[in-house]
Amino acid sequence: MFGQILGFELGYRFRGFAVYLFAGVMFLMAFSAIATDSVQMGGAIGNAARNSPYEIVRLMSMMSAIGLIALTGFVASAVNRDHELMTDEMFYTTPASRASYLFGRFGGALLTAFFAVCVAAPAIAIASTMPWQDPERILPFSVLPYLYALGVFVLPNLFLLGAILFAFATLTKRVVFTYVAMLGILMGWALTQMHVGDLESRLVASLADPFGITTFNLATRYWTVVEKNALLPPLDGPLIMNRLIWVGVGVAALVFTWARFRMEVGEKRSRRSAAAVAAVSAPGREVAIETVAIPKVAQDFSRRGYIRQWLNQTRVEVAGVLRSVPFLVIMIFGVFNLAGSLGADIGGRTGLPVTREMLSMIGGTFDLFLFVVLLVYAGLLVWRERAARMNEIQDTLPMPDWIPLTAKLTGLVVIALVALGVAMTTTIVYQLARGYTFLEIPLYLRGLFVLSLAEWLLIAALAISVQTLTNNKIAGFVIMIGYFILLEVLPSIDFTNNLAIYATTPPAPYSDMNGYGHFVKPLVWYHVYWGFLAAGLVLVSSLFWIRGTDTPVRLRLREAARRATPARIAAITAMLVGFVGTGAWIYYNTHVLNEYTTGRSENDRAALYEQRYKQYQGIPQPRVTDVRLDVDLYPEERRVEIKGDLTLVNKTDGPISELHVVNERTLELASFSLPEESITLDDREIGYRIYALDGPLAPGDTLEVSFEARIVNEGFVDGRSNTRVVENGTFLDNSHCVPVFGYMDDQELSNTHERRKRGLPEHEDMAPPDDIIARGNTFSVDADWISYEATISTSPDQIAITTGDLEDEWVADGRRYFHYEMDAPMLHFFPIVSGRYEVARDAWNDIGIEIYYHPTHTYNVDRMIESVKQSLSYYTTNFTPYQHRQIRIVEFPRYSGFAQSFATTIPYSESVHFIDDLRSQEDLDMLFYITAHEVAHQWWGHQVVVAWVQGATFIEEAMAQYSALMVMERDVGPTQMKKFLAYELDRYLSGRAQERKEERPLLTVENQGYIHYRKGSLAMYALRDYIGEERLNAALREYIDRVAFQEPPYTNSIEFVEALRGAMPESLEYLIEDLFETITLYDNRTSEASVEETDDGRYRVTLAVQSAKVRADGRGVETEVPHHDWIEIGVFGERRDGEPIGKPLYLEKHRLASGESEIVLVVDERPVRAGIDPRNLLIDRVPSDNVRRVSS
Amino acid sequence: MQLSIENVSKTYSNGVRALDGVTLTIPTGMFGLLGPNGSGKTTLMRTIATLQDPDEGEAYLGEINVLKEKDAVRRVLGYLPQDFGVYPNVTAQTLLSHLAALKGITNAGERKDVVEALLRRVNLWDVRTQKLGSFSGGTKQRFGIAQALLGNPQLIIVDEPTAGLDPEERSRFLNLLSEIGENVIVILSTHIVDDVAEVCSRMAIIKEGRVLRGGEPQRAIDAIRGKTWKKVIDKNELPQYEAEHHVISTRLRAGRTLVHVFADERPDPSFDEAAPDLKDVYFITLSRSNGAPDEDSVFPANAHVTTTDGSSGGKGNGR
Repeated sequence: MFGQILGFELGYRFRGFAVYLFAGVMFLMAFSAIATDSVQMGGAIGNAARNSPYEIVRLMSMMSAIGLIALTGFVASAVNRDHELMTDEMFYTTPASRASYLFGRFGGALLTAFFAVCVAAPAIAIASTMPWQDPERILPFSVLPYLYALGVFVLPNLFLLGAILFAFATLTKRVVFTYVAMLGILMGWALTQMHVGDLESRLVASLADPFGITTFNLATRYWTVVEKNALLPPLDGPLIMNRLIWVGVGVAALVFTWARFRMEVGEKRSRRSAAAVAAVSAPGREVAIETVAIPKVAQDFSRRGYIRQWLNQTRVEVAGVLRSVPFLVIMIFGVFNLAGSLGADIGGRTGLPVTREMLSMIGGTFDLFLFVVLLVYAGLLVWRERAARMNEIQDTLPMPDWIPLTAKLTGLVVIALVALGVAMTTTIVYQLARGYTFLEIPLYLRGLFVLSLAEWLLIAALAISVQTLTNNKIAGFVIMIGYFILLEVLPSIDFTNNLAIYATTPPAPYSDMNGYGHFVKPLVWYHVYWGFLAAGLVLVSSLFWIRGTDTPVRLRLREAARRATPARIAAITAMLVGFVGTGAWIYYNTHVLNEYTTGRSENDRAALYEQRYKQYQGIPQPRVTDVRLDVDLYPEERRVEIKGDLTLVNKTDGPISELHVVNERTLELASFSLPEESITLDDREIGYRIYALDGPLAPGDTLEVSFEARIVNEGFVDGRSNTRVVENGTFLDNSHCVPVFGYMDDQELSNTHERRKRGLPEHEDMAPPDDIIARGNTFSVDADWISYEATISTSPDQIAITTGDLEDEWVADGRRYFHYEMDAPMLHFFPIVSGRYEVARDAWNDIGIEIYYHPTHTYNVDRMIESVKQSLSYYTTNFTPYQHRQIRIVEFPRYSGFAQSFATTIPYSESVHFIDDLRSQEDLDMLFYITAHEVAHQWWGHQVVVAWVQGATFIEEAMAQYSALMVMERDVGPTQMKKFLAYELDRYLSGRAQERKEERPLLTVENQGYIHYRKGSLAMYALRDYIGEERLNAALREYIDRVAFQEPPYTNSIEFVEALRGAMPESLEYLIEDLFETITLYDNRTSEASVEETDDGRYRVTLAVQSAKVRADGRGVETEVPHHDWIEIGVFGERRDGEPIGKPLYLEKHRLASGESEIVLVVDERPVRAGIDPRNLLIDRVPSDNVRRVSS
Repeated sequence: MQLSIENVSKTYSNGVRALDGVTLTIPTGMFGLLGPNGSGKTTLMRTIATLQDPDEGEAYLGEINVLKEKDAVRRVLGYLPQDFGVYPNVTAQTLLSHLAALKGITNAGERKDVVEALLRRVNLWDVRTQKLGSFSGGTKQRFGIAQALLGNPQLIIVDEPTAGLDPEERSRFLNLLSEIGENVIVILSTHIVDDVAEVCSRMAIIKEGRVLRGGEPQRAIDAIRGKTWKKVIDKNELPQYEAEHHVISTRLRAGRTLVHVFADERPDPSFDEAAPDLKDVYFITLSRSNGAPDEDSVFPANAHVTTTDGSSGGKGNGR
């Protein structure tokens, strides 16, 4: 009987077209994900082979999640179909048992969905054979990964989810609850994904993900290319647990369904007849009833009456949606998702819940739900009367044609309004719960009820129009989903022209400092532009609004022609004219007044730059020695006028006959003091100009040049606008206001794929550390040490800041002037900042400290000052004296999210830590740390200036990390340190797993953040621990003394490592090689830890530990190296406050050989935990198995 | 005021010719439109109710061009569709009040009064606060009737209104209609002959999109008086009788079959004269159109297309 029912269900499914449609979609998705770069399923294909086991399993597991859509449809109707078609009475009266009926139907639905998802497997295999594939990134076919993916992910996932959804569908007998359950599962899933960022809840996330995708990602998180190409995740640990748990849940859901299901006709149908009986009133009252006269009424068909009708209809539409269960459920999930992300802990720190952050949270987590609501309810509302079969009554009502359509549209907008209100309430409650009371309600209103709502209005208009015009609910949904996918896909194929994608506008990030700033103008214009189109669409739709029972296209056209009164045609024409007119105005602004740039055009430009001028790389040019600037900032106009006088010196030993003047694109070079006639090349497109010098510049000779330049922003742009010059919070650096003399190789295109497309050769590596020519430059190509002086004028309510001492300040002609002068030689590297600031002033010894901050960002200013003081204290004590008289931190708008250390002045983005919530002891105080890091750059970067060769950032960044770690450790204690280092380890390991080119050791690192920051922290912290802080700092001090303020050739990583090597005791010299010269990883673990009490009341601890050391090459191929290294062994007591593992009872470094070792120790107190390298000083991919509980 | 329909035809995109040159003139009062399922009744009703456009033909309600001035028609129209639903989650009172507002009854007091009166008249007052989703077919039908009567309609179209009503409700409803129908046009479309027989002063019989005959029911019955005959026969004799006579109807009774036949003269002495009723008229009309033998014997085609006692008759031919 079961077989019969299963067979019937399968036959039923495979006769329908849904399974083929879905299988086709799965094929296409999987095929395009593997065959092209423009389609991504759950993230881009990384550095592994396109058909590596890793990619196959990853993609197939994603496909199983997408398969949920088909699965839901299949299982939802497996049993419910009988209920809906009222065939249940027929089936229930057959002798089929409950189990065979239920499981037969379920099995059939499940297998059908499984078939559809399985199609992804051949799609991947076929896509891998496509001729355009790069053969280096394709592995030979192997069936195992497919079987693994199907068996471990696809089938269990479909089974589990199918069983849960089937339970919902079958027990509630409502299809809608099934979809609600599906949404619930997806949301729950999204929540587990969100907590992946938090190290401590990773195991939970691993187990809680019903799809096992998180589990897979975490299990393969640190995999290198080689591993991704060769391995399948082993079926152990969290992965097997996850699979067992969830299959178990699936079985339980099925059993529950079976236990609760009754083969009986639902109560509902019976209840209906009962109500009918109840409705018949007693016969005795009939007489009285019949005599009631029907009163005559007045009917109002004036304009006012129509408005009343419209209001009434709108009210009914809104009430219908607001009371409907799916809406409530989607909203609940939306709020849940929003709340979940609000609470998510990112990288161990917590930001204050400032309103702009709340707005972007709503945008990131809630908008999708709102889109779904609008999409679904546009369909439901347009079809509402017909679905309820009320349409014939509705359509004969004396209303104008436009009422139902506009009422539904208004209804949708009101719904969006309600939803946004719900989101706002959620975030406000959250803000208040966090004790944050600066709510900025006007910003909420602007952000949600002006900006967001305008967009939702456009989308609602589209959704309603599509439903009306296609007159097919499914087609309407498909078109809207297609539109949504387009919105997601187009940017990834670099199509970002907002004139061409409905309802899109240039991005308008909000900054506390600068508000919506100059983004308002384009926003308004684009909204007006799309508004015209939307209004036109709605007007056209009103012609085609279905009224009555004639639906063939021919009849609809005839009816539309009849409705097209001259007034309506005029209105539609007006909208079109408005659309084209505003479009033309936008085009004029974005394409004529301004250059329209895309990622592709920028890449093209970079390629062109290289192709034309690479030939001049390294040609002798005079170097800048003196910079004198007059900068006039006009923040309201976003305009800058610059006058500069530069002194250039020929520091080469040959004559120089031409001057190469290169400028940033935003900088308009208005005049240059060399004669026009001497220009031999003038490339305005790139900004490259060559002057023939009037008589070559002899070695040692000086050339004075002056220039005038401007930065102007006219009209508005689409895409990336100039966010450097803004109304409040202008932040320029030297490259934006002074031309450069010579070719800059950092402008070159570095992406291998993009280079290949443009016929450029493989990008050169950075010069090796010992390249003596390259050692002639720092990151600046045309200067060594300069003297600097600048006068900056700005609006009277703003303060302008640049590097150096403020010598003078005055007001003239309604403008405020600042004169800065640098007292010591500095790098040709300075900022120009202007904004409406509050200033906090303090001092450490005789060094002035100033924080320039946005008036509402008062929260962490004191803590920042504290960090600067402690940093100055540590660095001057342990390294060398500070070279300037003051240090400043200056806040700038969040259009960029970094902090950057110029001499004396550190611009600091408002998104970086100004709004960190430091009240929790648990969180990492990143504000303190980053501030210390930036201050450390005054030494590592401004005293020690490194040659721009491989390993440069090792010295600058890793040492800034080390310096800041030392300052932080004094302030926060070991628990926070352990937490911080755990994040650094995680970021390093996942960073190397994402490496696309080659992982390098610190010694030759090429500006790779995960190496110079993350590994840098770990290596330097470990080194400090092994040789001691004093010894290390002494070596560093010596090194700084030797190289600080040097002239070229500049120092390099080889010199630096030699300086460190000098500090190493002989027994630890291997550390230099392990930490800096190679990629070395350990696999340390404790396999046993036991304790017994000794006779004298002490405790003997016996440990079995394993240790292995491997060296990896740049692609991650590992070779084990036997070792005999010093590794820490620790025994810990009960955990007390401030102790990450427990009270240390024993902590010593032991010399351990590779393989297993047994260690016996005696401690005074009862031990709780013990293990090898307990503090994770060494890089170990599984740090969690180093320590274990001691068993007695 | 009268409704005149002239030569209205409609062919659906699947090729079905639902209306085929229908011409009717319908005065104030109850008008029965009688026809079997699929005869084009609903298409005709929808056409008059502004829901569909015919391919050709015209229709006027008084001075109003029904096909062009739809809004004017809708202002005076009450329509009960054959097949309709309701929003399950709202109460009878709420929905009726909403529909009243959409019918232009913007005065809240008036709206409340008329809703109450109508709910009482269709006997839904006691269940006015129940969700419509819990209503049975008959209860829902009564709601449909109530909404059709909203807003002083001058033209009331009810399509199969008595389907699903129990006898008591049915008679109450028909009474209500006749009461209202004294001053306005009420078109009652049905396949139940009794509905028409009981309350309609005029009627038309329609089949395959054509009007087969019209007129006053009583006159139609009178026209066949003395021409219907009955006889009790054995079941197995039926084919023979059907071959020899124009059998109008047969009925099984206690193992024997009662046949009614139509003939100008008593076919043979074994037949008794039967008192004709509207059913006989209906069946004779339908069977005649099937090419029954005595096609031109009783009803000259032309005599039955108009329904207004000849005052505006003779406008066209139903065939």
